[in-house]
Amino acid sequence: MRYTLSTLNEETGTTVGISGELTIYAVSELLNDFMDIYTNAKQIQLDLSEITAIDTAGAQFLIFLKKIYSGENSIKLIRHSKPVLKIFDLYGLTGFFGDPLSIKSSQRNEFSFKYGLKKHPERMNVSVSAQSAEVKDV
Amino acid sequence: MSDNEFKEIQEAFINESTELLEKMENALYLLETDPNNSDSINAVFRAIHTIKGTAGMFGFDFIVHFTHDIENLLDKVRDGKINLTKDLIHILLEARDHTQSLIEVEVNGEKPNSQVTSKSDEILAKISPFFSESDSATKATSDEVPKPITEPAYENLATENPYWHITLRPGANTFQNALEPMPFIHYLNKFGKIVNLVTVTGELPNSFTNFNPENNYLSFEISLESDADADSIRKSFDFMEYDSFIRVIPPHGGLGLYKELFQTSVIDKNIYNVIFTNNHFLTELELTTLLSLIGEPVKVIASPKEKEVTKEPILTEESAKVKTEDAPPPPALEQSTSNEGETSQITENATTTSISREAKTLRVDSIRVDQLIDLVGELVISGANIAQFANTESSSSRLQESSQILLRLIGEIRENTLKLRMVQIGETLQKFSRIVREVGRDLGKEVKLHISGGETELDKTVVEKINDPLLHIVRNAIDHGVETPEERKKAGKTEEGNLNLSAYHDTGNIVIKIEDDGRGLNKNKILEKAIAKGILKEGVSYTDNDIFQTIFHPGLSTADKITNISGRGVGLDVAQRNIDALRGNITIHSKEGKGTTFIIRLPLTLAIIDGFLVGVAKSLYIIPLDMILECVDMDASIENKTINHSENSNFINLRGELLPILKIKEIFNEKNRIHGRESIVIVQYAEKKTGLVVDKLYGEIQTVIKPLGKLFDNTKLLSGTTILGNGEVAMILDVGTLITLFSNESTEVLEKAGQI
Repeated sequence: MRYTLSTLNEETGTTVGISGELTIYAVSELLNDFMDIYTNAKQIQLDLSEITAIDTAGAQFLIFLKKIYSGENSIKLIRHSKPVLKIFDLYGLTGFFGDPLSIKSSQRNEFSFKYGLKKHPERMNVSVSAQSAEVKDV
Repeated sequence: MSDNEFKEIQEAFINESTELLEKMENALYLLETDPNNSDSINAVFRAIHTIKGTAGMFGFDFIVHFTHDIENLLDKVRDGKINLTKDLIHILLEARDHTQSLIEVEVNGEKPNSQVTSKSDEILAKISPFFSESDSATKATSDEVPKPITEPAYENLATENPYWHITLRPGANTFQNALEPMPFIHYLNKFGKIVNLVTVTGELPNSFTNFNPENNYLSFEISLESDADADSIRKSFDFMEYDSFIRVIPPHGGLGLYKELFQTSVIDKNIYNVIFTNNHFLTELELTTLLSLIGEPVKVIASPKEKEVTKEPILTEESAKVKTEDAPPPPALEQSTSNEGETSQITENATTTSISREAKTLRVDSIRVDQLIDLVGELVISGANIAQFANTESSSSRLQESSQILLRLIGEIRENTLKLRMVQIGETLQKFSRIVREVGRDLGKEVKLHISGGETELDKTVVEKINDPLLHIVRNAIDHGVETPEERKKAGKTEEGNLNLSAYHDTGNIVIKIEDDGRGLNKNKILEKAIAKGILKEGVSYTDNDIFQTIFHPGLSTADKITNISGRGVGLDVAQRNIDALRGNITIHSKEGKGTTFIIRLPLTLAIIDGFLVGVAKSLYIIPLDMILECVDMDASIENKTINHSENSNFINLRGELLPILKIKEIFNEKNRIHGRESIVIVQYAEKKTGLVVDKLYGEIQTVIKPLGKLFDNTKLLSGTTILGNGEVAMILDVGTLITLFSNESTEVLEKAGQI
């Protein structure tokens, strides 16, 4: 098992945590897991803090989740780990997800966040909680 | 690109080149008298330059090779390093012709034969001394033939994108093949800086059932700031090459290079378009141009919301503060905003220039214009139909008024539609400056051409068809008309002969005059020959024009020697037949020793005419309105003015002027005479007035000429038929032929009667 899933039901909603490697080797199984989660929880927060590695297939999986949780349903990506931030930075995905990111000041110069911060045209019709993406230094 | 599209573009290339070469030729003639005219030099340069460029895109290497050297030469001329001598102009004219033949050969997909290539070499050899004259070192540059560019001209437009644009669409199986795009994209930072990267997610399904998480659905549009060359950037994706779509477009790369991206993109075109404008990969203008090029009618509108977002800084205030404190501000943000202002300004400029360019000319397939004219023809007929119903006494005045307005509008539409086909004759006449020059040189004669009335307009189809007849007549004039310089000196004329080409409008016709001041036609010699050939009879007295007309007979040539220019007795015959086919005629005036004038008269258009409807017995005839001078009452004429008028006489005296009259009834053998007063319609054609006797006058009518079928090929007196609003058929009289055929008879009678 390269990843583990944890779900936590709180007053504020369901938080799902993925830990381990979010890669091509995990996505197939993850898809099955999320089919269940999707039927049970329409508003979720996805905790990415424990992701140790992510590849393009993994990023694509997150993009897929964001697309699936549209309309009534919503997904919020929180506590992005460094590998996740790295790939978001490279692929310019911040604007697509629209969720605020937090970067440690010490690591700020490891990222550029030069592009992809604007709302992505493919998601223009989708209502997202955050109107525009934020990159927050902490 | 489909074969058809390719053909279309090729056709456009041929048209464009022909036009350019014509301009070049005209400019060269101007340069002959004014060798320092920089406008003309530029026109010549532009012509060759553009042809070279376009030919390069098609891979027409022979054209490129040939025009490249010519272009270099012209460049030197433009810079004033080479003087434009008469010799050089002559060589350039040769080069112009040769370019034309190269285009014909290569567009047909053929390889030039040895004759053509040796001609290339010959011309290039001729220009090489001019290079050494200017500067021997510069010759070297003419050796490097530029690489043929591989996209058509209009797509060659440099885009504003200052960065490399890389499109990476990894294949669906990329992940399963254990390929990861991330490192490849990272690697790009080796070459420079990724300025922008958009992950295109549009292909990703949004339902669990369609999504295979192990397949790749993502693609990337990347802006790279780099000094590297295309090859090394491209090579960095070598490993992904196998099943990925990868395109690397250089900074300011041609718009055409982006074309493929749009054509192959499978995501929603609107989204793809927005990605390109919002990220400044392409400006909106560029994108609109591109989409229209690939026939994609998608309107490019970046959503206003999106624009707002663009304007305000994207990082939150809080982070912005931090940013200024410990990290350098991302340069891309400032850049993108300042860029935007700049871009929109440029876009505006580009739009205005392109509009003003478009306003000048519009290339339309001539078939479309023909179809439009056909339809307008039908519209005219049904308009006339409605007018007939509306003008009955029982109809309301409002209906009558409306139909009048409708009729007026239809008239305007008709006029404007016909104008679409009208072109100035100037270009056709200009071409003769060259022919005159060359024929003159071949024959050792000096001839100066004067052109006037070049702005006279006539139907494009007519213009195309008069070229040949004119050519024959002009050649003939120089060969037989204009004398050699010695002869002219003896005759007390200037050594240089004069040839006037003029065009003007005259009663619904266009008249083209070819006038020389040469030796004139030898009437007796022509008469002799004509009698020998059996065209004219001995002992009959002929008018000058009758005799001169015989020179149009095939096989009759007054030239003692046959030259390769003319003298075979074929040219003028062809000329007349062509003019006949256009419902025109040629008349000749000549004075021995003074010169000869050929006057060609042609109808302005072939499609619709303003006619005058008349009735003869039970038939309806239409007389072209342009030719009608007036209508008079026959009986009144008899009472007051007509002299010598009886059933058998054929003339009237109209206000002291003697006119021959033709009875349409007799000509067409109409039996059932309508009793009532006859009228005379006075028509004029080729300076001859004639009265046509008809039974009834109906009035003006707009008519569409419907050609007569093949069966009526020999019917000379009718130029066509038309269908009236009420469905009746009316014959259109060919007044020209009518007068020519029958006026001889009348003239004879007049002569006998001693009236002329």
